[in-house]
Amino acid sequence: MDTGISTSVPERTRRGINPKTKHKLKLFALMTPFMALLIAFNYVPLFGWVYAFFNYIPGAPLSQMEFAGLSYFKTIFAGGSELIPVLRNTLVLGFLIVITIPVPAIFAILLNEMRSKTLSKIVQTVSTLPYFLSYVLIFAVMFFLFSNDSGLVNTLLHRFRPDSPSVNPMASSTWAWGFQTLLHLIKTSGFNAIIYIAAIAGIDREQYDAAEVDGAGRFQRIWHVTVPGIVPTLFVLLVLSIANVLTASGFDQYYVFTNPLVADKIDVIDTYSYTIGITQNNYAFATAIGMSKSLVSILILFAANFLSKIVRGTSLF
Amino acid sequence: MAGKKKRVAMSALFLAILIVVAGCNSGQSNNSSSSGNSAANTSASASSNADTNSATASDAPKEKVKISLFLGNGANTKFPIGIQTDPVAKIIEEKTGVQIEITRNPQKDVAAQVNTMLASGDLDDITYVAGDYSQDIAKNVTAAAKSGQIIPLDDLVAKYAPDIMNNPVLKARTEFNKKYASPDGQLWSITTYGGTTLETRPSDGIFIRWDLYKQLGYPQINNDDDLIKLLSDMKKLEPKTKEGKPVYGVGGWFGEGSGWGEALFRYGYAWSRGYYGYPDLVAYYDAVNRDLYAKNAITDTDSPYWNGLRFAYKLNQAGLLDPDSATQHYDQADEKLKNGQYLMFFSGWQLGEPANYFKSVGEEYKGYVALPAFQGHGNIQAMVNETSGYQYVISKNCKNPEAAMRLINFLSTPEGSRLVNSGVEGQTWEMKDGKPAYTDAYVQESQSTSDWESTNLQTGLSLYNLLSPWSGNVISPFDKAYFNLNMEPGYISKNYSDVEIDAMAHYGVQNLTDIYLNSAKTVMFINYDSLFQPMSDELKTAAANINSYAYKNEFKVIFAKNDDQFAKAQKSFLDGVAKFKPDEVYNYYKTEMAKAKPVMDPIINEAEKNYPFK
Amino acid sequence: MIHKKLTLFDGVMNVVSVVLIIVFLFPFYYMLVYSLSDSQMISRHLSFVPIGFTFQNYVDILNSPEIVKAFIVSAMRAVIGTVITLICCTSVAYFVTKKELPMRKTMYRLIVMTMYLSAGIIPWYITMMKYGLKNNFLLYILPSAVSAYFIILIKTYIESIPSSLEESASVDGAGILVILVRIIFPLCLPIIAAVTVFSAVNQWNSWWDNMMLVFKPNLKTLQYALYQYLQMASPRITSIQHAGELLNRVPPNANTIKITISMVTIIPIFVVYPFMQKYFINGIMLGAVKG
Repeated sequence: MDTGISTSVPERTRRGINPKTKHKLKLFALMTPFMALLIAFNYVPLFGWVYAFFNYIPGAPLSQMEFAGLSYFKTIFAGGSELIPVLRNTLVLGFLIVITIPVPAIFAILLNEMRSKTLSKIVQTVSTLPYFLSYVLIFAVMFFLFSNDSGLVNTLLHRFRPDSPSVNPMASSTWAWGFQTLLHLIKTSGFNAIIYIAAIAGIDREQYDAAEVDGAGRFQRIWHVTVPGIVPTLFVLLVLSIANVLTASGFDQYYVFTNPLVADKIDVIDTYSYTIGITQNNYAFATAIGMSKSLVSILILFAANFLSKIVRGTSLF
Repeated sequence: MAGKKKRVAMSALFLAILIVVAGCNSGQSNNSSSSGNSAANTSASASSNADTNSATASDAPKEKVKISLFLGNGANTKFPIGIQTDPVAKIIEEKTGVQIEITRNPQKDVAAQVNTMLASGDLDDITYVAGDYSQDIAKNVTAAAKSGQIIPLDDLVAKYAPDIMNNPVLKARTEFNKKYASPDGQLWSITTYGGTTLETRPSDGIFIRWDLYKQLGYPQINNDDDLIKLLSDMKKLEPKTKEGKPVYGVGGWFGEGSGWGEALFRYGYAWSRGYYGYPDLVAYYDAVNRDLYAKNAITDTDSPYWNGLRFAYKLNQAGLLDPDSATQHYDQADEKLKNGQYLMFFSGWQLGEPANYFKSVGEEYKGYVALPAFQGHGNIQAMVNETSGYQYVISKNCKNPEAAMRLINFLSTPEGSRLVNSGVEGQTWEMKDGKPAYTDAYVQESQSTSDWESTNLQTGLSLYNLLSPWSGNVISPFDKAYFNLNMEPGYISKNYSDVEIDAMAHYGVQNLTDIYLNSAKTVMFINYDSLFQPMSDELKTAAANINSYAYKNEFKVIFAKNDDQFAKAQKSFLDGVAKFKPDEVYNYYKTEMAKAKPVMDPIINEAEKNYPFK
Repeated sequence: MIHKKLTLFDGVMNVVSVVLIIVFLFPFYYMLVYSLSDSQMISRHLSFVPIGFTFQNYVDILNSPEIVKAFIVSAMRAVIGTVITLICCTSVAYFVTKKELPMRKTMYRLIVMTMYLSAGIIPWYITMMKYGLKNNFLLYILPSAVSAYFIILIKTYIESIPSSLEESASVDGAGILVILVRIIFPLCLPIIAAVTVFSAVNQWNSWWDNMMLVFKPNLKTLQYALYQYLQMASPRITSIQHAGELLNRVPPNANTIKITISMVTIIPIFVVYPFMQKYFINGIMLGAVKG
């Protein structure tokens, strides 16, 4: 696929600046203010990482603080065997999210194929609703459904089968990973599908007509016209998601849904470091963890990008 | 078409920016949009207490000085930003020349907020740095001192705070801070909102449905097994609420995560029997013996912690534990309590809510009263906060530290301390029979409000009391009434519920407090941990890991199906927790307590002289 | 247009759609019922329709004058912030597709990496203070103006546009900016619409920057005002201060407050959203532009 044009300015030697160079400088100058903003708000605050190596005292100049070297980083691993299940949980939950990346895309394709445009629009709008609910509210809804004695599901269940035990996925360690992934999907799929719907909207209608003329059935049209239209986006988001595996769905979801029965399955790096760090109000420790996570994620990013180059020929950068 | 759209967008953008910039600039000037519209013109400064000692009355300066104040935890969250104009603030302005300015309201995580303020040199003139957890006091004040953002207070106190220096109790606090909350022996913070308190009801206790207890003939309850039998019998009398919801003995909120989520058994149960749990699960404070519980609570299977787990297990066996306890959050548990679904709870501050429920369904004869403690245990009725309380510092950016200290001193006077706790005399309170009491008008008004913060902003009551030396449940050494007039016997007796009246009759007393004072040992809770030096980082991490481990394994014990399983689960738990070296953490507490006791005990003995129990 | 007969696929899709609508709509419906019911009654009874139908919960919240002001602040933030973000991200996305941009690879890497870097609260706070963004409306706009995720989305989309269009324009003498505005932007409308939705929603829902650095009441956002409202109503706080007191008017349950607050934030979004939807329809109208 084309990724840019070649400058078709005739190459003439003139006195003064070569027009090609002028063009490059102009581009560069145009980018500069935006890069400045980016650096100002994303890279400048990283000076704070230096505090991960010191006994941090808020407000005091650096010279006043005791050098701590790598001791805070060592503390991360002091959890010993507590850290291993936490890492495992993070990777499993993160990986489950990665493999469900295509779900919003599939949803977008199906919406596109629906015959009734009105119904399609309604489903699309309604599917974005859960995105706007905080996890605290989703918990309230889940509780409403699955509370042991007064939950909707269990009340109905006991009316028809009085002897069966109550159903509560929030309390099940076995189903914990699946349940959390399902919740994540319900919350984000509809909203994320918007990206793919936009990508599909950009596909030339003529391609569909041409395919139909060539005798392609519905699924062949999807496979040969629609899918190639969204694959670039899908792949990019896939690479980004792989690099994000250490964060999985984010702090909020697991913090809200934790309880003693499932904690050993859904305690992730973010919630674990919160527990360890918060009891100490220990800023340097929290910074050490944040820094480690960032660096490892970026390494994974480059690795995933490299893989993408091998597999698909194109890469993120 | 794109061009036209672009032009429209650009002009809209310019217009919007203009409006916004104009808005920003107009907000520069101090606009206090507070709701200070009370009829404050009557008898504003009538005060029956002549303040002879105070330096402020004679040299209140002519020009007003603005002092910014960050009150921290527990402060009103609805202060209007800017100079305060409520009636109390106006009197303070008159008496001290200080205009109180609020620049921000407290966030949920005040500790983090203070850290960001310190880190960016953005402290208010007087700022809260510690107090919610007494074991953080030494650490936070020392850190603030080292940051270079605050000033030492020795000279200021000597010159401008005569009401502190001439009051032996308050002066002792400053001596104390110099020793224990300072990196270099200077005074860096002022202790406020402390003192020795006395509660009407136990702060934590075994609160049960008294009306059902009465129906069962007031059986004597001597231990946990008796209690479980009692709850079972009560449940037979009332298996469902009026709306058909199931009734349980008790319900927890473990879904809130480690710590707060385990509060019901780890803290509530233990405290109702006279044991206060330190945050790290290995140490409990024994209030009866005024010392650390003798053993490591997490490895000793008879400790308050394990007794709590065993109690929960037995409750579950008897079908008395709400199965949702494991997953629900506090909001859900609270709703069930309010709806009358729980027969028992432990924390006194939960009392008001179910009372409202019973009233609303016309069942006012129902209610909760705390049982007196079992033999050998203690009702925690009082707390000694002479060395802890809240800590306030003065910023190095403060332009007029003398005025700041004058403000603090005024709040330590008889007049100032009563003012910030109870409002302006003549408006919200007056002298009745030689003691302060609310005016009838104020009592009427306060009964019909549920938005306390807004009401307080109109009367000025309870806004700045965090900065005065004593907390509301302390009896004023000056006028001998509680600082919080809600706790005066005259006020409380109007609000006794039916069950409380019955309980008083049953125990043959005139005041509710006497039930507990007359029974088994009534004890004081003492903040020894305000003297503990901070833990090392390795210990802190070990302790945090112990907590995390416990949280993930407690329910294997609680939900065990029979005694065999309980024993197995218990053994497995103990084997697992050993790898975090709990004994090392316990030794830290043991050492610190041994150091703290000789320092605290004389203070306690002094404080006890004022109290009617021993 | 030939009318196709209803296939099995269509039938299945219709059924599945209805099921999905119920699943997605259910939490919203639950919240609607809850917020329109009497707080005490709904917490005690299981019900599918409002019990004790009342608007009181909404009245309580909307009554405070600050809510109306906060609403305006959030709306302005959503509009201005989104416009600025779109301008920045679309420009950067386009420039970064130009191979002749010096240091292109480095710049793009710098951009992408920002999604995985977090500095922590305190350095962020100090930095914003140093930039003079305390109590400043620009705090809501500038930090999110150049946003890696949006740039990546738009860039990927631009790369699917045939280069012939750009080439012919530049042969005609059009400069970079003209191409960006006259050609690229209109062709990217679907993804721009998507980014608009995302950015506006982010802005509308933000409250954390408000809490940390903005204390002036006339800059308070709706979400933060609602968050404070919720905090204030926490049962634990009110109980501790007034233990044992009997009140005449029982305050609403925390659940009711949480839910009503959420509705107050969500409903405006769904009033505005349908207007964005038309950009997502199959590009019949856009096919003309491209063809």
